[in-house]
Amino acid sequence: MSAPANSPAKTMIHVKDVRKSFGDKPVLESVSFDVHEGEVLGIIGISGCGKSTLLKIIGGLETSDGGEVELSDDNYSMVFQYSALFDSLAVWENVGFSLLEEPDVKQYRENRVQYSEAQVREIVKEKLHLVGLDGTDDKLPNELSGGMKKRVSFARAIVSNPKIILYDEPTAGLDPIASTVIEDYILKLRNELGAASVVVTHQFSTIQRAADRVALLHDGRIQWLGTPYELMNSDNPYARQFATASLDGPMTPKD
Amino acid sequence: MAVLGNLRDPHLFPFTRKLGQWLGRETESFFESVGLIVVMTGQIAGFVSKGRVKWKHFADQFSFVGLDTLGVALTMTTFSGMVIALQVATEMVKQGAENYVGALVSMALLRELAPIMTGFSVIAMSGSAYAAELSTMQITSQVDALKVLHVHPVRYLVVPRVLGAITALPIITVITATSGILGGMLISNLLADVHPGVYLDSVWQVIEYKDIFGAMFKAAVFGYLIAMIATSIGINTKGGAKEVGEATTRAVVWSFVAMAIFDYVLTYFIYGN
Repeated sequence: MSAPANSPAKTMIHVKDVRKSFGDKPVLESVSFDVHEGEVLGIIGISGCGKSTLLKIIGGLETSDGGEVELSDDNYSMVFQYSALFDSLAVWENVGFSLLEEPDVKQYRENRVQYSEAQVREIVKEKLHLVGLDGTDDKLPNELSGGMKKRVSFARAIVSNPKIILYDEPTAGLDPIASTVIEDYILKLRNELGAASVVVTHQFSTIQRAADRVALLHDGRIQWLGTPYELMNSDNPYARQFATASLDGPMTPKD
Repeated sequence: MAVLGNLRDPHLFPFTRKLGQWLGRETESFFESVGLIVVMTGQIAGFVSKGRVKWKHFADQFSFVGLDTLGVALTMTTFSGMVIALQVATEMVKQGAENYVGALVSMALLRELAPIMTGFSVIAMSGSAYAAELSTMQITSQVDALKVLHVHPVRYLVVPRVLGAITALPIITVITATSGILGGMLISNLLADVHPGVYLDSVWQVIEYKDIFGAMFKAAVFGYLIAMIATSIGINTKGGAKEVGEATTRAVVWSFVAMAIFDYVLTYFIYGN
């Protein structure tokens, strides 16, 4: 697939022929795509189609059974479906975690900048401001609402100015307005950091507002790939079924 | 054969089928856990040998295992000492063996009861908490979040807990054993008129350094087992709230079993023949 119009952008994520089975049940049969610098790729598909597994493989949390995953930059981060904040740590310690903690990857440990607690608090303040959560620094995660936790997890993901950001269902379970806030942050981060992003979602609004391109995953393969506009007007049976939320089509809900 | 029906019908013997499934599941998870414990022990050794230990977390865990468990462990061990005295003191005085009561109580406590009772308390209070906490962190992706932030979950979560348990257990064992011996002294004096001086003399006569260090060594091994079993089961949990419950139960049950088996093995090597 080609890069967005008139941008010879660098490929940041290269996924080729990735396969994965759980037991004898194939989840991903052959998945290939590229994501470029400054691009948001939405991955859609019905529940249980392997979207989250694919994202975990890209993020190195799950091993694939075959194929290639190449990230052009080691500085990547991930936003988890249920925020995954460390609930014993205050908001500022969560956001500043990667600045406070010594990493266990040798090359990062060697090139690491030592920050004082005051410096970390300063950086965290800035990131919390970016996600509209001024003054929550010393709260514990369980004192925050679901939407706020999600924004804290955004702040935690961007504290090291990553070049690649992976989002797992960033708007699932949020009301439409909170979803819009999150979608706007995804775009803001793309614009400000120039990051390449992969957004796994099944929310239509998220694709339409935040994605530059959309890949539709079903039966372990990318069945369709194009812009959100093309998705609405495509003749592809998968794309049409998803766009119209129809029960008639090649995809049937999995139990 | 109509009476029995089809013998292959899975509904025919629901109990044996369930037993078989349960055994299969438990066996599989047993070997998985043993494998994981071996791997994690290697990782822990690696981190410790490179000095990559979070000392603040270690101190937190040391005080969690040590101070929080102390009340329960003290009560259990002291009453154990008292109950032995209750069982034997009167009889021994009748047989003219008054000056062996202290020896018997202190041997029983140091060699067996103090490490075991303290281990039980740590399983109930710390082991269960470790399994519940780590399995919750696992199912809510907090363990994955650590990995994405380039922090090894074993170094961050397991090392401080295992080191905390290994170091705190021997210390509380010595404290609880002492308290148990004093409890025995009280009961022997109240019920069988054994003079505290006589009781303590017999304690000093029989206790060797080997008994004290043996008790501490046993306690350290129990601490390792309890923390490793709880954290390895916790960090490997998949699923939801039900699995957190199962992980906690499994951690507690397996810790009890492992402690009983290792207690025999250690006793054999320390005191046997």
